[in-house]
Amino acid sequence: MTTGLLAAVATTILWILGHLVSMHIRPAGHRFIAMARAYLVSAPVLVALVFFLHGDATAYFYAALLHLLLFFLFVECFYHVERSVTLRLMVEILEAPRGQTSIDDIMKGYSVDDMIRRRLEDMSRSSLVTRSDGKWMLAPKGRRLARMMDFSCKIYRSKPQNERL
Amino acid sequence: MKGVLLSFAAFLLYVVATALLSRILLVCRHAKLFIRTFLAAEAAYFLAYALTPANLWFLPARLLAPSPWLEILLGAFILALNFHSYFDWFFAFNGGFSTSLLLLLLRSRASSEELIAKFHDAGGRDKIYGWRLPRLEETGYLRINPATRVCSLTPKGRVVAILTRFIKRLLNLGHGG
Repeated sequence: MTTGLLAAVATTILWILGHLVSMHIRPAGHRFIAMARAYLVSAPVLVALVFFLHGDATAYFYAALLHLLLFFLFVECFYHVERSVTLRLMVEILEAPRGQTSIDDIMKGYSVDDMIRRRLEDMSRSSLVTRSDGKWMLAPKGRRLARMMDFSCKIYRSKPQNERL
Repeated sequence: MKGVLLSFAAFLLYVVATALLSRILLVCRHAKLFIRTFLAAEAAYFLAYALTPANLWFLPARLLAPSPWLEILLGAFILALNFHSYFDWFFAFNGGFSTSLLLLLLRSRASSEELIAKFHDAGGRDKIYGWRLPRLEETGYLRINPATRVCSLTPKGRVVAILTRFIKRLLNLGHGG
């Protein structure tokens, strides 16, 4: 078990370092694909490490499991930082002159209108929505996803952001 | 292997419990419910580990942990990782900004302007900053001067912002959001 855990941690550190370096040298257009690629490329390294450390069958299992869960953790943390409106807001206040800014200036710098337009364009690139006659509509992939989201919101009785106030 | 199996069992129970509690209770903040239930799930995991036999009544000898302490900690760590994934999935899937847009489009097709209007209340206040700024103030990350509407970070907020800026630079990200 220890062999598998050590191999998973070492391989995870390696692929994350490789990914970070490559993002500084040549940033990827699609970050998730870049992260998934780095993770997949590291899989043979994981197997080789367990082999050279003389791990048994359970070592391979523990290594693969932890390697996968740490990949999820990295991806989730990445999107926490990258997508969070709250964190963006806090960094903007931090970088404002004397660390102070008015609510109006915050809204001017990053308005909800721009945010919505940008997300719609992002979703259009991901084939979730399409545009016709100036109106946005769900693409088949987006419709399937939206139905699942709708079901999930009903299960947890949670409100989408536009219904929170 | 016992630790891993019990960890996944505790996680499954945790998912069912949070879904049921969300339906039974009138939940205003799911995060609080999820964190408290997670602590209960961790406690249940440790208790189950202590009360069950090493082979869980069916595991062969080769799958028994040579070091139970390492295994029990690994199981707890796996439960924490699964909790994080679930927590993250919940807020992206059930309360995310893109989710809200997709749900609006599920009801009817709409122009950008019509969608933008849905994110403003009758008084013109937008629904993104409208709840976020007061929440940040309430949780001690931000100070807002009520007279001038000028925002500044508290020491706690500053730590979070500095750490975020460092991570963004490390990941070579733009402003994001």
